Amino acid sequence: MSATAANSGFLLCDVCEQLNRACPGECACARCGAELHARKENSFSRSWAFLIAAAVLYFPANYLPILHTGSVWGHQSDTILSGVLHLWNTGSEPLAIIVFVASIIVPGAKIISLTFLLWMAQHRSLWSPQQRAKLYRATHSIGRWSMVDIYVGGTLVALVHLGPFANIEPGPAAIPFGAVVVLTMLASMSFDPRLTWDPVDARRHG
Amino acid sequence: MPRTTNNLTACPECDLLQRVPPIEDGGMALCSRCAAELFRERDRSLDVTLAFIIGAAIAFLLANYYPIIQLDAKGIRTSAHLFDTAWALQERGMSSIALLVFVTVIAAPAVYLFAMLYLLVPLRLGMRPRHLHNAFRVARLVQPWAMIEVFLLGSMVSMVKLTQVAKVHPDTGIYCIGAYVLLAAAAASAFEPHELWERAEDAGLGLPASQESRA
Repeated sequence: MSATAANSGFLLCDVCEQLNRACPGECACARCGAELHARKENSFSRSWAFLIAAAVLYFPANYLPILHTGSVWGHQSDTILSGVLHLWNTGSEPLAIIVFVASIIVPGAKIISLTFLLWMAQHRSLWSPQQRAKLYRATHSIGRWSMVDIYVGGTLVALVHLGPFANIEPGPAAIPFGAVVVLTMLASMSFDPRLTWDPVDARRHG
Repeated sequence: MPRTTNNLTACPECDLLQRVPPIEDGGMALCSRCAAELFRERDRSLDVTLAFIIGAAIAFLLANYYPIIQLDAKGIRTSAHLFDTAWALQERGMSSIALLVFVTVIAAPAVYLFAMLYLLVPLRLGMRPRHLHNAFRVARLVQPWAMIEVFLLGSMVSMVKLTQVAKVHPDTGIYCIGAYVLLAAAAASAFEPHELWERAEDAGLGLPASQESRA
């Protein structure tokens, strides 16, 4: 038998993690005054909305050019992937791997793993909640590193404005790419990991 | 006990009710079911956090004041400040991405540092900050959006990219960013929010307005 806050008449404060006794109707945390909820509000619909938007934008983010380089010797447009290949071919293999993982693998893996977690929780799966808890923690903590390509672009654009010799301009992929990072972070913040455990507790209790 | 009801607490990640045994200094309690972190016990957590936050705030101000990178391409020199990385994108018509960069490398860290100073300085002096609850919520809300450590990696990648076409010099600002990243990480790992509430309650001033009127 697993006694949880929800099935024992308690509510844990989202803000300060104080355990409160549940009360009828809306109640506030006795310590910090925050509104108490048994689970994050509308967790499924909010997470799905952010996640679907992120999945749609993942394609233009990778397909469109993210940087234009112009100089007297010609123009060049780079997508995220061609930028990675350029780093690789010029002898910066470790950096090429970092950018490839942060910009392409991490956002894709995050979309897939959140889809899996949401789907399993919504279908009240009992399959290995421990493994899913670990997956959620990993997904939640690595997402921010995808921002690295946005900062590479910002720094390059700020430095390289050398008139006719060389100019670097941001490409149209920057907007969907930035949106993917923000949306996957919001999706992960909206997901309540306790939803993974609720079916397990309901079964043991019932 | 202020931190729990009879040492009883619930895991924030799996909701399991459990009693937390006394933890020795420097130790932490993990959820017995899903291994999420429940509590840490840190001696003088708030004082140590405050020291790191003051250091981080100084490093952050210097990181904004000094240029971060200088570029020398056959005699043409340019340099960039932290703010320029957002402003350059704004000038090229990428307002949304400029805003994203500004928020994540300048605004969010600044708000986070300000909220932490607002919480910790008065408590150190034995006073309760007037908007304690709101400041705590603001600090928690903005913390995940402060991504200077990611920016540091990004600026290093761009320096490597540029070494093929020009001379690149890391400038004072980037070392200050490095110092900020280390100090902010040290502050985050020293900070134990439960001690904040305990200290506020020790002064007999911990209850929020809504509860005071009800009590």
